[in-house]
Amino acid sequence: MNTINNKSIYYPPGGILLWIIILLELVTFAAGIIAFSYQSSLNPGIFSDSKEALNVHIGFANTLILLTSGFFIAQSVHHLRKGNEAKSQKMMWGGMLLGLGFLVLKSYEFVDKIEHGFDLSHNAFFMYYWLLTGFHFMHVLVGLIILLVLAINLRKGVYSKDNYLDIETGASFWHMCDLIWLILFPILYLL
Amino acid sequence: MNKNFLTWALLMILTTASYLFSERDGGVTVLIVLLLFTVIKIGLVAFQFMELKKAHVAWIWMLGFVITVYGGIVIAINL
Repeated sequence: MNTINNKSIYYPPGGILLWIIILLELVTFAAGIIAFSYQSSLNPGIFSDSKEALNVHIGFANTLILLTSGFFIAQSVHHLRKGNEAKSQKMMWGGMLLGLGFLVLKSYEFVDKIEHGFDLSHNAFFMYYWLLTGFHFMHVLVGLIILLVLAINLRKGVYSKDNYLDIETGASFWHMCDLIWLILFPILYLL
Repeated sequence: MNKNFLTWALLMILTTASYLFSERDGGVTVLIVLLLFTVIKIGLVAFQFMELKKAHVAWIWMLGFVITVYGGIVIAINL
């Protein structure tokens, strides 16, 4: 049975190790975005023209998809704590399906960029675009694999309302992908 | 009403507002408004979905520090 006091500095929801990783990831991506902004201020013409090549509608749709996926995963944890394993499973698979949707849409965008010659070496803007979104893509992929393992174990009955810490940790990793995308989306697509 | 659902609805509204607002040609104003929306969205995901509201206050301060420094530097670069 889970009797952890989350108010202790050593036991944040999801676990201390994951929260250290979350903060390090946010710092890493924030540093990338700061470097991107600085380069943008040095070469405003190149960055402004290159941004025109991005499909803001896809970026917007992907943000809605990823946030909705995050909602499903949060609901999965919520239902598991209430003892409703069946509903928790449904929410988990729903969240994963949306996560897969994000990757499919992002892959379409990547292929489109490559076909139009906007690869990593095209210019400074696309170097940052590929590094930042590519690195985030890898995080979502890893997150999906983690959720898949959790969903399979959930189906096997490994987790219950008295044993849900792994699910909480996996969910926190997934929400970290949301947080990173929330930083990337406005800077790369909107501004 | 389920707090997760309410959080999700707010996230959808703020994301749509960011998308629509970005089409305005407002320079620094647009930058500040979009970053403000981003900070609110990060707060909503962290506090509700990641349950940071249940954590020790030090974790809240650490996340707040990272986001504030990031936002501050991005605004300073673009001013």
